[in-house]
Amino acid sequence: MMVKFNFENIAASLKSKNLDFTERSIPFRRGMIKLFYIMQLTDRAALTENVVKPLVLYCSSVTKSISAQMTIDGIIFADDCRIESDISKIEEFILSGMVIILFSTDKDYIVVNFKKVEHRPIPTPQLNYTVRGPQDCFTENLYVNLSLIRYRIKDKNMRIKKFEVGVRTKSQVAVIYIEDIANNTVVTEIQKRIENINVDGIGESGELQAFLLNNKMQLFPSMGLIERSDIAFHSLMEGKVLVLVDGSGVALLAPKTFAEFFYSSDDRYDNKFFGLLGRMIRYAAIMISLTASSIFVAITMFHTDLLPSKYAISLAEMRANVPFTAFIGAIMIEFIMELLRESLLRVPKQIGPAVGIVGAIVIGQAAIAAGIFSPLLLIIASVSLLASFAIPDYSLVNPFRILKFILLLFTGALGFYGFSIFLTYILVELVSLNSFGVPYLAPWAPFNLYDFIKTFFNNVTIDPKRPNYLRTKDNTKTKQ
Amino acid sequence: MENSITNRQMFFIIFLILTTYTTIDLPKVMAQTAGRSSWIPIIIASIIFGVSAVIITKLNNMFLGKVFFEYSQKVVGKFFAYVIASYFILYFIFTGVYLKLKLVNLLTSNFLPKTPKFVCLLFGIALFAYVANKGITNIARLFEIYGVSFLIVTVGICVLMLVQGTKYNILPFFHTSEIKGYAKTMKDLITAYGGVEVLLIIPFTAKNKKAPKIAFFTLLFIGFLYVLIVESTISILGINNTILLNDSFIEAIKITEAPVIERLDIFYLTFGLASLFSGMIIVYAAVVEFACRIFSKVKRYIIVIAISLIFFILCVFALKIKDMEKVYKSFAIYLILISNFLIPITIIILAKVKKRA
Amino acid sequence: MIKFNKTLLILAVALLLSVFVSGCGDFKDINEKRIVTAVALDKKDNEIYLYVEIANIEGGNKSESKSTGAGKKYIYVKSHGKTIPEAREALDRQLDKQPYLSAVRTLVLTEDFAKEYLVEYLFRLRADELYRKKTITVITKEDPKKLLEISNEKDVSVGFSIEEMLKTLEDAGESFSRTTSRVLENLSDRYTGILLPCIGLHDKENSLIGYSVVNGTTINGFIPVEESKGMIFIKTDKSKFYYIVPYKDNKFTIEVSLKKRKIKPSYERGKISFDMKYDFDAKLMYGDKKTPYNFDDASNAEVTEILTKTLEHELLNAVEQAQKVFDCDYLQFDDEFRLKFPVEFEKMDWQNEFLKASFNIDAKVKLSGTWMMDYETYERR
Repeated sequence: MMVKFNFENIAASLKSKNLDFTERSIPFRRGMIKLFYIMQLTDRAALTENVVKPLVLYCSSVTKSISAQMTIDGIIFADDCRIESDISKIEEFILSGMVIILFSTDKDYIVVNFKKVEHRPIPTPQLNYTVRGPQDCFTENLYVNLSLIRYRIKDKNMRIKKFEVGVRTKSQVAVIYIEDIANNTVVTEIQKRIENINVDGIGESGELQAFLLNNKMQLFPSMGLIERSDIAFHSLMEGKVLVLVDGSGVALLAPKTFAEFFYSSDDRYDNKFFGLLGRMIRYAAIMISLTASSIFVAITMFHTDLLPSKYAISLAEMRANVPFTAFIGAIMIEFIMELLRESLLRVPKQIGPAVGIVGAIVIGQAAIAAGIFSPLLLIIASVSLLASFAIPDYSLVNPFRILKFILLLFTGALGFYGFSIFLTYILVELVSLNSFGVPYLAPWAPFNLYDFIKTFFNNVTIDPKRPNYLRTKDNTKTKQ
Repeated sequence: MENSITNRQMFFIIFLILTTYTTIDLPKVMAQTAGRSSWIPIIIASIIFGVSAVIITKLNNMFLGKVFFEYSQKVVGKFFAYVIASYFILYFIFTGVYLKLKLVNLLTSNFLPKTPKFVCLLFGIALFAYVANKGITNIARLFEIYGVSFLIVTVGICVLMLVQGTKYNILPFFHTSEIKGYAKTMKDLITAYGGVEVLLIIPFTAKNKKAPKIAFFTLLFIGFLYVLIVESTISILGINNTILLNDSFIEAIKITEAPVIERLDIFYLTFGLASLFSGMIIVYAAVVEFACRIFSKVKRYIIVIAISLIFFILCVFALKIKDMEKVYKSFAIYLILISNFLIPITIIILAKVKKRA
Repeated sequence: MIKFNKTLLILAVALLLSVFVSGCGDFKDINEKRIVTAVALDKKDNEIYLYVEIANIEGGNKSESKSTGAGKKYIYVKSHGKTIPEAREALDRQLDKQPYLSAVRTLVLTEDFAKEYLVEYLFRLRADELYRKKTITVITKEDPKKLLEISNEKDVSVGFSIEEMLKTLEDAGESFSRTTSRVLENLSDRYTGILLPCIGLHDKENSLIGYSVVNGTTINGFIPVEESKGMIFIKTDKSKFYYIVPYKDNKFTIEVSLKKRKIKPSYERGKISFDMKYDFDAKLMYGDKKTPYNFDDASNAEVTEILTKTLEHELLNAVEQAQKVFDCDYLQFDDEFRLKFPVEFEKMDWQNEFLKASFNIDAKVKLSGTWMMDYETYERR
């Protein structure tokens, strides 16, 4: 909305409404220049050196009027500046960290970007730790994150589209993709969903992710969480779309299939056979994490004849003095494991490891000594917990933590029949999901041989094509 | 909702629905009628039903993007299309009730002898309804996973049984005195090959052009699998015990040695439950798909709930019927022949005549 | 509409939850059952005695027994009744927990019991879903109580020990074992003739003492283990025995293993005959005198001749024993004949025809004097 230009009123209004706006006035013979900015968001040294100083020097010697165009062309030194004329946007610019230069003799004003926000230095990975590979991760600053991507990908086809999400927070969201690889449908869909978000504000990528899901009640994640820039780079090269949120150190990745949650950078950087072993262990790990306790309950309570006699006797001896049934014991121990996991997340770092070790040992030893649990049940629960940590992308483990309890319930009621029923439910859910049009269980269902092999072997030397299920524009990676 | 399938998925749909329950008592039936040379009528039956599969898939290919109910209206008119659709609904409900009862009986005898049957019924029907509601594409994807695991486990166990079995039990492979039993064997095999007609609820697309060839070889493959199952059972149990015991395949697996696992049949049944579910799921889905098309104005989930209630009530009544198996088999032979041969052949001939005209 | 969906969902969840609870009828923890590892049956004075060996899971804990000396790992319980079901009911009345029969390793039947109740009990085993079908069936001439007591003194399970003993012998090629399912398979045939291992006491140790002959549905004979070599060579594929062959002033110990067996039935003018060809591999292990043995080709030929005659004699004895002593084809020649002449086999009464069949046995032995030790060319310096 075009507001009639009244320099004094505008300046007064800005100052009175926002007490933390800093005002710098520079008078000249014919008028006044006023700078408005927020101290905490501005690089004051650069502002002083490149804008205030030249303006002061110029104003002290000039007798003519000074216009915005003149200033931008020959007085101030700033790489990112432009002329604006919409008065209604001045406040918005200042709040987003820009410096506004108002001229009493010109209705146009200058917007200069000297934004400098305090942020952490580039950290090492906390979520996606690997043995080998780059250790630089995203931070909460969008521009730092973009720089990490830009220095890896120098492709002229890489597009970075920026959006503003949140009526009050106006958080910057960047959608990054490589135009001649990524599937247009996915890109358009993501952009459309972002544009349709109408909310007060989002603080973290997790909140944005909730808006991007197909179904609000969905349990399984259909977007990946990326912390490391090398994973981001590889994903973009595969034809995926990356979403960065200013203020969040975790990026979102789409589309992401179930199998891809088990991929780790180590598979790529190390020998391909080690990668194969690693993947097999991870696939086994998720199954163990979900089913170990349930299988124990089914065998102990319903189908003990599955075990050879010596094992059955050994199991019975272990459980001879245990007062609870296997089902109750399993529920209790799984709950304790979840409690341990939650508490170790919140405990201060200095005492965390000690508490963890003592808690685990005390709980374990004391429980067995008291005869509350059998040693085998404790081993199974511990293995199940360990297995859940083997998955590189932790967002996949969370649904399985919940499903594990429901599976225990079904198995405890109906043995292997209940077990099979609930597993079928889980499988049906997985096959019916899709991540932005890509079937969630691809390439297992629907099956594709080439992509299926890639779920086990992933190495740049034997990987000339992109996955078929992504339906990218450019299928080939190596042009040999 | 998208309802297309790939050829591989079609293979697994046919595979799972045919092998659902057949594998368990097929050896007994074959041993009774054809003895040690039962492989011959099995292969013959595979070829015959392979032809039926070819006809059904060719019919679907003639009307891409449409299911049987839709294109039969064009061929035989709306009234007859509704009649045929109603027939198929009743046929699939009848088959579904039988399969459900078989599942419940199997569970009662092997897994859960004290659990009330209606509990097994309820959980099963709830699952099948949920899955059937998801649509054909998702069911087909589920079958891709289940089919592979079931196939690997079944073939693995059969090979183990053959290795541990006695060759004297299965030899000689051919005996002239058993030829006279082939006619009865073929009649008994009809129920073992019923199920290909579910393809009528699946719309084919351009990528299903090779479906007829694949369907034929699927039936042949299933025939070879049946031969493997029958021979491995007889090699373990002997011909007389195979005839004597109900669920002879499971009984044979029970006495097969395996490392670590004492009762291999429980291990097999845990994977086998997947295939048992698959048979029920696709039959349920068939009823749902036909019903949704007949009652197109009613919401899908309401139809699913209504069908679940019908199944539950019918199953509870059927539990009280003695010799449900005999009742089913006496009618099923004719119903399967009508569904697999009479109706598809009639429709395809009329369609071709109409096309020429 | 949404309210209707929510109501439906709540109803469905409530129904399923209530059904969950009613559906928990089948679970019972393994420690809530009595694990049976052996079952023995005897018939005495018109009463059936049932002995079950049970794993003592509470008192048989290793660490406990070491420190306190309390509790054996296995205990046995005895019951009796006029019939088998009665004996079982009496057992159930004694046990504090449900017996778990899926761990039974060995079924021990006394001769007296087996003569009358073999088929009945095996059919009972088959009909019981929970009974382990891979149980090994053995006959015993001893009182089962003695067998159990001896094992109990040593704190080992009689079920496991008999099973493992038979498996060890089978692996060594000196015997064979029969699971109950195999026995049942034979019992379902038109014609039944089988051998069951017979366990007895040898110097206060449980030992394989021979084989009981089951003809039809009852036991009608016993073959001591010392006379069973020929029978083992006929029945098993990987049999191996040691023979002592006296030659000149030496007694050579020779390991003889069956390499190949070919049985060719023929049927001419109503007469059944079998041509049996056996190829044996023999290794000269050692003699009872100091070396050198100068075991040259001529010596080899002579020892081979002696060994061949011994083996042929044993094989013929085994067949004659089946035909003339026990009147029973427990060597399963019916399978060989049926394979080649299925039509004729269907028409004949094998029980009688077998007794009239003739057997031609041709054994070939390949004796090696140079295996680990070179007895052919060794010269002392």
